[in-house]
Amino acid sequence: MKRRRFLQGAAGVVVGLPFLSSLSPDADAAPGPKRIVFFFTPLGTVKKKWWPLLPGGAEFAPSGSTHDAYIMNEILEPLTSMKDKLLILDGVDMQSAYEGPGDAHQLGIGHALTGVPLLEGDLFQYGCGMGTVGWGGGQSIDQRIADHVLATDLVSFGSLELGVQVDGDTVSHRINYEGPGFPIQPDNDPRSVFDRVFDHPPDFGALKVERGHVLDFVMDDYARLRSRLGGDDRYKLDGHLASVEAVAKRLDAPPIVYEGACQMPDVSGAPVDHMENEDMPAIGSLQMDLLSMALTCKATRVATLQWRDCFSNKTSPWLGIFDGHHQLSHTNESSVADQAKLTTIYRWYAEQFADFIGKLDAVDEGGVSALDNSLVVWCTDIAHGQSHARLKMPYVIAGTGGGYLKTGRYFDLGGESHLNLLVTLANAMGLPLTTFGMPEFCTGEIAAIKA
Amino acid sequence: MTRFEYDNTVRDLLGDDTHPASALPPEEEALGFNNQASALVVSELLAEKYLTVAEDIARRAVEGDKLLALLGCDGGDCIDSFLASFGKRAWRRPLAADELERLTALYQTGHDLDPSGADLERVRDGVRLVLSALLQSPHFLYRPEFGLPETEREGAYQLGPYEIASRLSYMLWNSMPDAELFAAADEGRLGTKEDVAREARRMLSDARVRSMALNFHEQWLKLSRLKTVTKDPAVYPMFDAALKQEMRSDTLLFMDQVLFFGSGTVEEMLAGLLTQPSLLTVNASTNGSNPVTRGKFVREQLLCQILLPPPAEMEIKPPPVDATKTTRERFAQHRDDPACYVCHQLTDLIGYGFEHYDGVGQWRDTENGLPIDATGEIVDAKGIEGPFDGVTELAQKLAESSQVRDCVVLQWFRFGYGRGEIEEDEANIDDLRAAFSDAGFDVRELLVALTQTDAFLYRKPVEEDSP
Repeated sequence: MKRRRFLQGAAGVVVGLPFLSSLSPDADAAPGPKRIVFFFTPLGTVKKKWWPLLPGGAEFAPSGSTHDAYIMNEILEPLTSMKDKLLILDGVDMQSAYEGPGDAHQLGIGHALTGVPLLEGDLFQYGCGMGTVGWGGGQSIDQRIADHVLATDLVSFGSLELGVQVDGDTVSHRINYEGPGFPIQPDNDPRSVFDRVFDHPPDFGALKVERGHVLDFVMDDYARLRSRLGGDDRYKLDGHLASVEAVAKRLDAPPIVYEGACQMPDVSGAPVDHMENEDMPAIGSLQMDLLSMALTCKATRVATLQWRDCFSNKTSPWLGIFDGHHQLSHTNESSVADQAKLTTIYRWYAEQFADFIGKLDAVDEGGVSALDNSLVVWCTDIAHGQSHARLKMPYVIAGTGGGYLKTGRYFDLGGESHLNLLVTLANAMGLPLTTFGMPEFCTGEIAAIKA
Repeated sequence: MTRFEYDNTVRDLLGDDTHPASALPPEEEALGFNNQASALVVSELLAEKYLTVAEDIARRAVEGDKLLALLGCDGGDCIDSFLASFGKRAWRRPLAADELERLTALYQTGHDLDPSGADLERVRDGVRLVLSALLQSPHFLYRPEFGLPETEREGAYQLGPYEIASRLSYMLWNSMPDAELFAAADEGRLGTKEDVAREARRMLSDARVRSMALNFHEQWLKLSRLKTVTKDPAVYPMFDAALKQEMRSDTLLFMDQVLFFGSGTVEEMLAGLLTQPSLLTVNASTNGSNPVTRGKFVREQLLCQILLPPPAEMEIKPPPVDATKTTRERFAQHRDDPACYVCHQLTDLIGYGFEHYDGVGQWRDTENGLPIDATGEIVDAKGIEGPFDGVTELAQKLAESSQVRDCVVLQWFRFGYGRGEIEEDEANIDDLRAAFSDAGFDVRELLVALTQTDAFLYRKPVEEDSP
């Protein structure tokens, strides 16, 4: 708590965050900036192959409990060597995702980080069921945290949203929201991410001056026009203006200093078409390289990496699976062959998660790793494909957020609201919240998972 | 402005045909189209791309000799007139005095960036900054419409001549107005319905309308899905990127031929559309045909029906491949279960009509040694219910369906106006249906009719700010 007050009081001049720990009496204060990453994969998991098992291999008895002694099941097995740095959470319910308009997937992805009802409207038809719905209804937690970071720290990007073959641009494809009706699209193209984050031309100083002049003119245009518009148009233009302002503000951020673990990534081998189904592993790997480096180089502290989307029916040829993922996810638990394919897909995602956190864990930040200072939150839209339940969601969190959470444990939280988890994550990031999303489904921080 | 419109606009504005908008992220999509104003928002990512793309376009536009050609004079002498004339084309209307003043100031800033530079280089810097700013302005990226205050009628305002010119050009060409449209606006020749119809007919004979139609057909028929479709290589080893590309262009070419070199009618369109390999491929399984998805395509895209998908708890999975049965026999399980059949009779019975075509659209007389049965039936579709045999008969039935014709009107309404229909549009849609019918369901006449409705010619007043 003391540390947070210090940061707020010193807003604007806090550049040497790594040195602050010496001023702080908090034992858990970490010597590196805290980061948070939402690692989204679609369509839930196969619970029986996901949840950890008793050391002997038997299943745990269901219900709310904590476990320190457990072994990984088939899907999370690739994360075995990182077990001490993980918090595996079962029994988290997305209760808000049963409220308001939307089909099961739209509700799942739309509520995952916002926790408020989707907007009414006729923009999108339900993919499952009858009805229509608009965009998400509120700011997502990552953007709330990003606003806080921007107010207290000099970073180039308040947040970065990267996608891996997110193929579509509807409410079923968006997890991040700037505000109600204002989705943030992920950048699916590694070359584009590289250009935006790392590729500063040699004459960047002159370009910055020019951009400043041009953007001043442009922002003036938006401000003048907005006053002549009403309702939705004005809201939309305000959003556009805010986006231009964010780009303009970035001109003042310190440039990346390439030293130590922070090195310019290489995208020269990137496949030509970043949406080509069979190139997904290569694209995903590049996006993870770029994102881990952006976090290492402190270009941002808040990010989302979104793999595909809830209606993705793409195949997984590199795993020898030629059925669409969405279609497979609907199959019955008694259908052994299909469930095995699904297990293979989710296990592959676990391998990607392991890769990603491994990269952060390899970065030393004065005795602890960049991962230790981070929270990498693996989340999804539904718990289980056939039922489309948004209850008992499978979460894996890597890193302690600079000592805020205690890892190396597996919890069945027995029906804890996912909004309480979001509040806990925000608090870990130094944003003091007591509630988030629909208040009737949020009672505050989850004390049990804290250090 | 969509990426397609952006590329067309910079081509017509500056002669830049490098498709710079391919660097922009895809549009948010609603109602099956990517130009629905209410869904589109500008994120930080897009704003940043607008900046870098505009910088690149501006740099190219003033390179070498291009600068003087653009200015139309020898140096800094004509900057004032250049800003006024170019600004008018970029923002598609004459600029106000204060707008010109600000633009001139920006030019001066650019001009003074490097005081030691040669005169021409300083002009180049000034023009470059101006272009970059013009292309990021809301007056370029949006179509702000205010209407003519003196024409208020029941809370609606008639659009001004430049606003009409832009509506025409973006609807029919997906690009900016040409010199003739600007002239018509300048000279007050866009004030009546007849004026607008005359311009629309002129524009229909320009090649730009064909590329607009291509854009429409690609989205309506969901051809972009072809790009990401995969097939099981064990079943379809020949299915590769080149074949996909060929399928896509075949279908677009076919629609182009019907619309601009044929009768333009729904009937002619349907006669060839249903057997397009692109559609048969996209609406099929990875390892075979699929009567459900093909029937679903007909229901949703051609009949504009919203289908009720299976309950969330229900297992959906095509029956596994069985080398002793035809696809039709395998899918018969839907008929055996009344819970499935209540909905699947809508899709499967239409989809069976396509069974002579496999998962990549190749003709077959037999499947697994068994003869193909392509008989089907249309249920729950006003006026065309009943049995049919094969795609040809299915197409004939659909061509006679008022529901299909109304659906074509609705699809063009949504794409042409960039928005979904609302209650107040009932009269507009009735007018469109009547005009379409009078023209023998010729889509070209539907395009003209789209410029004649109140929805096209008027706008609502500025709404009060919502909280």
